[in-house]
Amino acid sequence: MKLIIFLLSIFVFTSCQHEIERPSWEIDITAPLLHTQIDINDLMIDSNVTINNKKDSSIILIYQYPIANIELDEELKIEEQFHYKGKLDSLNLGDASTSYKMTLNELFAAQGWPCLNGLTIPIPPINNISGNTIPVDANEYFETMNLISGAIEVQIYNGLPFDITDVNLSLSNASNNTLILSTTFPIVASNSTVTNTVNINNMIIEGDLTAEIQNINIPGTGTDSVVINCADSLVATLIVKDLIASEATAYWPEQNILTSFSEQFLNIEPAKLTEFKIKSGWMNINATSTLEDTMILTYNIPSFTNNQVPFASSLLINPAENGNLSVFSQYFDLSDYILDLTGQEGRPNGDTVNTIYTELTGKLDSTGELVTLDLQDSITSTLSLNIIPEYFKGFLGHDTINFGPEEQTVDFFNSIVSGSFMINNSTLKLNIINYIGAEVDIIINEITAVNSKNNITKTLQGQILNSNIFIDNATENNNIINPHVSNITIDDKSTNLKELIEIMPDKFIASITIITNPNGDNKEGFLYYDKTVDVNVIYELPLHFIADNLIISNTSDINFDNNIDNGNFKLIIQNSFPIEANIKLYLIDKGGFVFDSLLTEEVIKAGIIGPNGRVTSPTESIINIYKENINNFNNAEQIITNIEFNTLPAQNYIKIYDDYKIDLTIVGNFNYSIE
Amino acid sequence: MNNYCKILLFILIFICEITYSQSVNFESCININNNFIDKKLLEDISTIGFMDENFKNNISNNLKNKNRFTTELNLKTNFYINSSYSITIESKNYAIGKISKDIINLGLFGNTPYLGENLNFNEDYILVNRYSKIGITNLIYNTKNEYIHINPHVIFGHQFFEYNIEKGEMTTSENGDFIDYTLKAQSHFANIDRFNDLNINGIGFGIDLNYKKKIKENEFNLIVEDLGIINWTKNSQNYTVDTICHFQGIVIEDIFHFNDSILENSINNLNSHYNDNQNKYSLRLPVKIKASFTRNLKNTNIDFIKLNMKHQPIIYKTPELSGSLGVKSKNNSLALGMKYGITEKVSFMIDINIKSEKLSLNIKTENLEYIINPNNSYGLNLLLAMKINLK
Repeated sequence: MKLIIFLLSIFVFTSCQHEIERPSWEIDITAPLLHTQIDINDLMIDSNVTINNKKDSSIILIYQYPIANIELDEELKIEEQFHYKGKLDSLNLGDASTSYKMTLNELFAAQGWPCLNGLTIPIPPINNISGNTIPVDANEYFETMNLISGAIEVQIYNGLPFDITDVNLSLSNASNNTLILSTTFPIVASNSTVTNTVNINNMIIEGDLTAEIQNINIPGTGTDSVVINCADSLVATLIVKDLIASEATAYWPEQNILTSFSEQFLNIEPAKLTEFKIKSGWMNINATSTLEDTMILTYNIPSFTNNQVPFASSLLINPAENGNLSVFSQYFDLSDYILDLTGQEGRPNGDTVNTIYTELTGKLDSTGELVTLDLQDSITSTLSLNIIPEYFKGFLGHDTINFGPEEQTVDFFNSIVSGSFMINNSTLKLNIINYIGAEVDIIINEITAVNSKNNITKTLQGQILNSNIFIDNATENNNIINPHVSNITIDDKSTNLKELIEIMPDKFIASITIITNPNGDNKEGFLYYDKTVDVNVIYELPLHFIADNLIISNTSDINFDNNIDNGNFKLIIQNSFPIEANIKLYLIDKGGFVFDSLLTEEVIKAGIIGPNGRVTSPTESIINIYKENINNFNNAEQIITNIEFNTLPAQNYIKIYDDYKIDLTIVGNFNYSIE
Repeated sequence: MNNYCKILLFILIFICEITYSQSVNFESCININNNFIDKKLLEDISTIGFMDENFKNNISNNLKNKNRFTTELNLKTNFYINSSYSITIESKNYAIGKISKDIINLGLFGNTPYLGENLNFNEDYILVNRYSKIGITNLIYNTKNEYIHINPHVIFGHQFFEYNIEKGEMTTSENGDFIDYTLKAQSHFANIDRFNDLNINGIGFGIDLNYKKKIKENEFNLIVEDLGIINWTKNSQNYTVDTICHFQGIVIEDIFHFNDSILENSINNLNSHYNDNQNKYSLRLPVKIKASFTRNLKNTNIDFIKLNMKHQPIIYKTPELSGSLGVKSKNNSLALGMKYGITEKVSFMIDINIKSEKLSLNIKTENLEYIINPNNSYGLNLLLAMKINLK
């Protein structure tokens, strides 16, 4: 029984489970996808257009387009070279010394006497004692030197137990026995030192020398006895010092051999500048040297600063070899450097203009090698500047800049392919912005509007042409330019401007002359390379117009990559603008052929103008785009959008007010499969 | 612990219980009822594959304003230790709900056929719940004519899904240029993607009550089932939304500078109406109340009349009522009756009890018409119970 119960339980607990097949069906979804509101601000997507309101809240389009935007670059380039040439100021050699010693033992031996240490005896007088010739080796200092000036200090120390007199010492070049010096000390007391300094100007001294004590007299001690110590000695020391050579082959110590502190004048007149900043450019330092030793050429240019740090550079110039020049060249990027053109700081006659101050120093490096140098050796250096300033400061001078004729493209009317467009009461302003810190005269030589599509040209006519328009100078505060702006109104009654606009130009041609400081150079000013003078045309279009079958066309690339499935779309448009629009879409395939046209009968109805002249409630239009058309989007490469505008009521000027808008909702209707 | 280990453990406990039991009762109940779709249509849905417009219209035409359904499969075993105590092990699997006609139509057809209409789906509710419970049935009150059994039990939750729309309305404008909707709803679920899994994802406690009173020769019986809660673990997914929205599509401030990020932000903004988290959730079980009154008759061919009431307030609009007439022979009985309940149609019942010294058997259905004319039946109900005396 229990087994039956167990099996039954297993059956019960594992039964009653089965799979249900899942059905599928389609549902039909209608949902708003996108909603947007478009007002006049949204429609004016051209960055050159701004919108203003008149008192009655109707719209004025302010369209500003540059006719001339004069940017100086190469025109401001400065190319200048400064040359430095110098011989050596002097050649300094280091001090040298050598010593010579004669003991009492040697002194007695020269007389044929034995030297008995510890003996106490009186010393008898002895005259005309001569010493040996001693070679003096100065080759560790120099090999030969042709001196302009110098001195040898001779020191005699008498360590003997008695006085000596008439001590004569001589020094000669070993090679030819040329006497360099001969000096006599009348008396040298026991245990004392005496010194004589001998000039050796204009002498040639070699490294191999001979020194000789030519005479020593001993006056004797009389009856006084002295203790004999054979090691007691007489020491002669020669110190060569204050050597200035015209030529020498020596181990040269480190020393400055060239100094040139000078002001250099930039040839940039008539401008008289005190400062400019370098936008881009370089400086090349080129140096040549005849020196057979390594030289360090140091350029300090206090006039060039970058972040208030003056330019400084030390250049190592290798020794000239085999009679050839040593040549060195290096480029330096001077971008962002500021040049102070007032000359040396604290100059005696006060600040100047167009002048830079440079400090050039040539320094002989101590290489530890035997090198022959001559005061006739020379160093030349060329400092080349090739710079384009970012700005100038100073007196800019009287100058004339001609600009144009230059073409300037205007894309405002590009999309309009046909129809007519009549503007009411447009106004042209010539907007001249002077960014130069100097007064300017502007002369408009020509402004021509061109409609290339229809081959129509209109040239501006009126008194504004060819007359000098004076614009005051800009000012600057903390490097921020406050330009002087001048707007010259040219209304359509005094000129033919209206004709220029109504031909719907796609470009302007302008020719302009700028004269700086027309009244003389009397103000300190500035000039930035990228901010000089801008000339713009501003035309104010009150949106008060008639559009008669005005067609705007645009061709766009599209690529849906078969992403659009079956579905219908509906555009629900609430239009406040009193403008009717007929939209036509043409799909273009890969071959460039139109293969489908959509919405050919669809019209966005105009808002109805009420008795107060304004549209008070929008008009709703519904445009259906069916899935058959949508499928064709997948095969299209381009789409042409043609919108034909008509203002209503026809042939009446309509105004556009700032509360006009289009409410656009895109509603999708899709079949969705559920499984 | 995988399912095989759990089954093995269950079998071991089961054998132990049998060893110490005086008797054991097995009860299996399947109950499928609804008020909007008959068996034929249900089978068609299961087999048709793609539902075309005619088919969907057929479904729609059958819909009530509030479409109620209950589907349950319960397995229960009682091990009677003595006359006062028994151990009850029960597996409960059910899906119950009430869904408004509008939301079903919306799901079948989409919103296009209902442009300009207000669709209402307030107080829609669906609960799919699967849990096991183990408890001790104790006779706590016993007099000559009256006794009370209680069955406190521990609940092991396996899976659940609850969707509750407190307030829901939707209107799509005639042009389709906006959709207005109001939605206050919650959704909670745990482990719903692994429906055969016996993992324990929630622990709960509940109590069942059984009150019986003899009034002379008659009997009154009141049963309260599933008075309890399940605390689902912290891995429960909970979604809430409480929003009133006027949707005009993705609003583009500047159509000429439209880009993907604008679309993304707009979608994120729409999604921001929904709050979701992964946290604990306490599910209050839908309590079920049953009451019956049995009047024993004498001196007639009919031995008893039995009146029943069953109510599950969360689903049923009104209680389900039924009545039956029965005859007895020794310990055996047969009752036939009628019921009016969730299907909102009259259905027929049969209840057969056979009892011997060792074995008691109860077979009952409340949808006898399913056997006679199954295609037009809106319900299927079958109870099988068997009690075996082991001593």
